Amino acid sequence: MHNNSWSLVLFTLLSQACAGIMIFFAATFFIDQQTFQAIPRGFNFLAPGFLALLIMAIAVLLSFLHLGKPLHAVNAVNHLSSSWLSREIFAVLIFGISVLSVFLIRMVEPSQEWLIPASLIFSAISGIFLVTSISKVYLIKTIPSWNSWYTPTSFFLSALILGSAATVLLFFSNLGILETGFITPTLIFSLSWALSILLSIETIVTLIFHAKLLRKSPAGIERISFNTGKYNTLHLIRIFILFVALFFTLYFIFRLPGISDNFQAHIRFFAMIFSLLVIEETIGRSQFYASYYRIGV
Amino acid sequence: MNRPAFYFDANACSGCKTCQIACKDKNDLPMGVRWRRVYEVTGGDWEKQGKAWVNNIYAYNVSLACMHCEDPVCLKVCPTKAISKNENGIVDIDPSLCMGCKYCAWVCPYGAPQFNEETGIMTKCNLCADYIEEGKNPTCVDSCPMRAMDFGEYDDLVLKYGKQGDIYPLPNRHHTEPSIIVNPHRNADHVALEQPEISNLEEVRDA
Repeated sequence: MHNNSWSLVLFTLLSQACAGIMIFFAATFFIDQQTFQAIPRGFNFLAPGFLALLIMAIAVLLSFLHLGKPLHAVNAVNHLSSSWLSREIFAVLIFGISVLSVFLIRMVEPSQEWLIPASLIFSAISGIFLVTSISKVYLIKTIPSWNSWYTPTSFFLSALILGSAATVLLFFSNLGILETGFITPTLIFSLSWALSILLSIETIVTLIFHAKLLRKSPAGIERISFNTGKYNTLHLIRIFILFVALFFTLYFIFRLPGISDNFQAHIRFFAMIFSLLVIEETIGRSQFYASYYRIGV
Repeated sequence: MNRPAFYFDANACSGCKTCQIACKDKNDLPMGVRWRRVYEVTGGDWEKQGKAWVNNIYAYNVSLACMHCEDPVCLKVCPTKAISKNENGIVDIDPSLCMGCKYCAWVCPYGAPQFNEETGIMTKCNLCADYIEEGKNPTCVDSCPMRAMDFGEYDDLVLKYGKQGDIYPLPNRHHTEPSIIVNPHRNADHVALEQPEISNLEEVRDA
């Protein structure tokens, strides 16, 4: 359909993952102060603020690759009154500022303590606005395969799945935190349960939407087939990965009580789950773009 | 002009594509960019009636360019405000604003906005605005050897030809209110019964 749609696959996935990370990071502050205080700050790859900032910068740079005239991107927020694409770019700016504020405030540690929760709430809300506006860009009445409940649902699921998995991995990777006993197994346990529930929802939602796509009669001039060829093969692979990731996550939860016995092995195991999720989400997003067809010609 | 519009007679069109070539020539369009395209619609099959096999095979052509819609979806979604509608009702693209995101090409159900690889921006039919100012018709209209097309004010064309129906592959007009009046091909009724095909899909699909 669209040249360089891979840059949009990466941009949407990375920015949604960042939104998810900031949502779960903000939630950690309100759920588990002890863990939150132990999370690194400043220019540290294991600090959620810095990592999210870095990923957002990469995502924005990648998004430029699909533009024919990147220098004209300064005009991108000219049409906030009616264009959701304009609003999406505005949301990226706001979210970027919010993540930067979390990063700076945690690094500076100001005397006004309210600034930390305020910046976290700001980043979580702007993250939700970002995912909403990305979804709205694709809710177009002339593109029946995108103009569906599945678009916002799958985008929010991507944000929450990648966000929760990345947060678990980040907390785990802070080995020093565990050694000093700051990290509470309850938090990892809750996040892992949240991840397994999200994976179950995603599996069901994906199967329902695929069945719905198969029933759609083509409205455009192209004969698109969703139940044969590469599209169908990738769909089956994705569903298989989802089941495997769900099984491994449940196994991980089951093994959590013995985490201190073999900590490195647990990190490697969860890193493998995370890799599976990245692959699954990338396939899912590529399929989303591949499902494009419009009415008319 | 308030609402400039095309009239297209599918019964008269022979599919010679002179309109397409005239447009490319007049606007000096690069390879791959076709502001006007001719879609070759074919359909039907052989069926057994008693002991005889008869066919209901049909074919017709549809020549399409930008419809300069009353409610242009491309204009609404363009993030840079590069697409606008001028006082003459012409929907046009300002190259100094367009960033080449191709969003307008995604959403337009007529395949009107086309990406120019050389300049990196979107381009589309501007109704030969310079010709219109001189009181002439767009080049596609006057080049048609079959006189299958006409151009004028939408209301005048409705008075002249009647408000005629749309045909496959045009979408339902409520989406964008296109400024076109189509005289359907006599075989276009078959479309409701059978699945037609665009037989020159390779030629027009990247529109």
